[in-house]
Amino acid sequence: MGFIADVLKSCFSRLKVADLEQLIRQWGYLNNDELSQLDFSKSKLCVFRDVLSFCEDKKRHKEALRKVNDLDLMCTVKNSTKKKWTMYKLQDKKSGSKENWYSDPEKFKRKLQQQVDLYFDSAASVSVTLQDGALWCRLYLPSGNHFMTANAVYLIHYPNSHCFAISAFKVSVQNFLFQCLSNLFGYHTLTSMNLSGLQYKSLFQLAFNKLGETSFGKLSDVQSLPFISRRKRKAEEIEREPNLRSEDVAMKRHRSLSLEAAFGEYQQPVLESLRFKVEAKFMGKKNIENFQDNGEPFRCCVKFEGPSVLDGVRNLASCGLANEPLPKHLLRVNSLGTNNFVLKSKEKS
Amino acid sequence: MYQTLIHKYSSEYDETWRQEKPAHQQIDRFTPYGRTPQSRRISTAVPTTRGRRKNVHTRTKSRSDSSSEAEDLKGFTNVTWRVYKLSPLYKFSSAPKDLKRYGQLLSSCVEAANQKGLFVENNVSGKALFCVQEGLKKTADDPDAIQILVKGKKGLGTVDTVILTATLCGVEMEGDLLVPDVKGHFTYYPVLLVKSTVAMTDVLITWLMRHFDCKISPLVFPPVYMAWMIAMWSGALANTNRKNKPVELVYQVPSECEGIKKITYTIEAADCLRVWNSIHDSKSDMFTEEEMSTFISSLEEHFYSLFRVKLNAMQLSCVGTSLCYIGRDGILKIYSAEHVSCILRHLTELSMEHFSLTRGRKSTVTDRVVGTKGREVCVLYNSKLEWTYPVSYLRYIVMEI
Repeated sequence: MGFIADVLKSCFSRLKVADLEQLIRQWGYLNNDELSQLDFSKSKLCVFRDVLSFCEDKKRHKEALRKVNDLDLMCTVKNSTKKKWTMYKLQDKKSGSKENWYSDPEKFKRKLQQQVDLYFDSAASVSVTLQDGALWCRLYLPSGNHFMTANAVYLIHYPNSHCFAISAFKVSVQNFLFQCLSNLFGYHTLTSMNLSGLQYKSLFQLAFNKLGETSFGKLSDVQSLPFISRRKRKAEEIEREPNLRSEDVAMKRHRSLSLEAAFGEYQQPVLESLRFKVEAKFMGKKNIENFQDNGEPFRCCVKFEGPSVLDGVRNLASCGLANEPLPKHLLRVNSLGTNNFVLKSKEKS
Repeated sequence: MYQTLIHKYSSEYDETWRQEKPAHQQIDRFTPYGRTPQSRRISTAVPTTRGRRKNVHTRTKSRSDSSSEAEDLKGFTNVTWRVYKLSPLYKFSSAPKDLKRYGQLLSSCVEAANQKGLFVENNVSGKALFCVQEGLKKTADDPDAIQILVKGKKGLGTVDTVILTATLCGVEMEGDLLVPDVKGHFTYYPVLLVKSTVAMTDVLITWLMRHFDCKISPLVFPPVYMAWMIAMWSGALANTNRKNKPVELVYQVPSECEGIKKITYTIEAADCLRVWNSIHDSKSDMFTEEEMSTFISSLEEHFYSLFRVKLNAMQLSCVGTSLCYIGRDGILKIYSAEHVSCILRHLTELSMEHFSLTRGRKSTVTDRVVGTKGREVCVLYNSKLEWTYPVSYLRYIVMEI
């Protein structure tokens, strides 16, 4: 029961007080009598102790363990932005394998459990749920007798798509884990897309813009996918306030039109960072008389960070902190489907 | 007594009085009672260096960077320090018996704070130790560097750990800012480094301010200071046998631009050195403001050519080199033990510049006193509230007039 207590403690520590009651009821493990005995106005610690005592009273260890694993997954679904997600794409379909596209969470769970049992300890557990059209999985790959949050790996997959998002995992389990997923999806290769962030819907949107198709067809046929954001961006202050007068209306209008042509009128996907590794000729020698140009590239790394970097890049231009036209490697992030770039000078032939 | 002095100067001020007074005692009076200006320029206490040639040492004068000294100063490396500047300490002594007494007093202060519940971790019991730190006294003008340690048990722990580490120092202080008449009463430590929790740091600073009648405040590094540090230290390779840390510049994006908070620009140390050597003559010990400006602007120009983003419209918030990492709010992390003295020397210089600025206003202090607050005196300078001088230090300033 110590393991169950550790998992429950981990769940409660991640949950906000306001979300606690709703999630416990949604969980469905406690019956109505037990739910009525819980006092959610008390501290989280009190509620945790009560819930733990109910789990212990049931005296069905395996079922209790399965249920708390499900609760852990529900907490992750609720607080998905607390995890950093990395996108992988599926390549090189295995010959002879059927399309292993599962939208039924139970089928998906059985298949995944079979694969996990082949490569990992029998104590490894799998939980699957369906949320907003996506399959959410939790794999617990134990190393030792105690619960450790680092041993839990979470995965998000939209049925019929060629990519998935995965949370952080230990390097030691990577080979076996990827072998499981390769067998599960029926593809030889799982390739990193160099795309990571906290907002999984934006990551899927960017991945989709890059991959461009599902088993249903091309991108243009599937505009109504659940992770495609169709909200228009907030109007600028000058547009919102009719009483504001700008001194250089023509310049601002021209800038606004060119930015709209470059970025569109909809909100950009949310990315927290954009990283560029640059190996290019040094271009800052205008004021340097005797620059030691030995032909070697000038190596640097640039990282843009913020709550929504793509919107921020657009705003840099609209605030006048960047001059137009912006370079292509800033404008095409949406279609390139990655947030880690390498820029190199073109080699002279 | 201070109000009397104010009345004396204000009532007796006229052209006749001005002509009678010797030149060194004349006060250039600036009256704040004019018409309210329609716009203001925000002035800072930082000396503006634009347009003036400024020489900065790149190497330490004493050249005694022996391996044993680096070993003594190893405790300063790979630790995140908070940097503070101080006014002179009143009646401070570095004699062993006095240091022992200070330790006992600080221990009781920590205990009292613990009983008041100021610490998040309950039952932080602390024993304070004051000792002389070796390896930082480079010249005769430098005071003995003092290390302050508070050891104790955190929470329910049974093992003693170091809860607070602090160092009072002044390295290669150029000239003595304390006049001989008052030197016997005051000891000047320009720099205080502290590594601890916020609550414990507050306890130490409050105790020092009350016990030695001094003023301690964070030593902030405006972007121009950080640009100097980048220019000075990006050319210094910490250890040629190891791969050097890249030079890092972190720019803060203005809040009007929503979506991006900061831009981190990291340059390989060797490439940065190549640019620096093209600007600065490596044989020369000194370098100028023009060289510093050219260096920074050439890096920003390269960035602009890649992204068309104007870094010169943003402010530096943190900089990192092979030697150290510095944040605008007084955060410091030193990587190289061999260059601890060099870095502390520069911090001493910056702190002393602040002190010189405030001392340079001594002739206006008496007619800018706006009130007293306990043991401190509030001073108004150029319509802005500046340092609150402790009473003892004000006495020292007035004695010079």
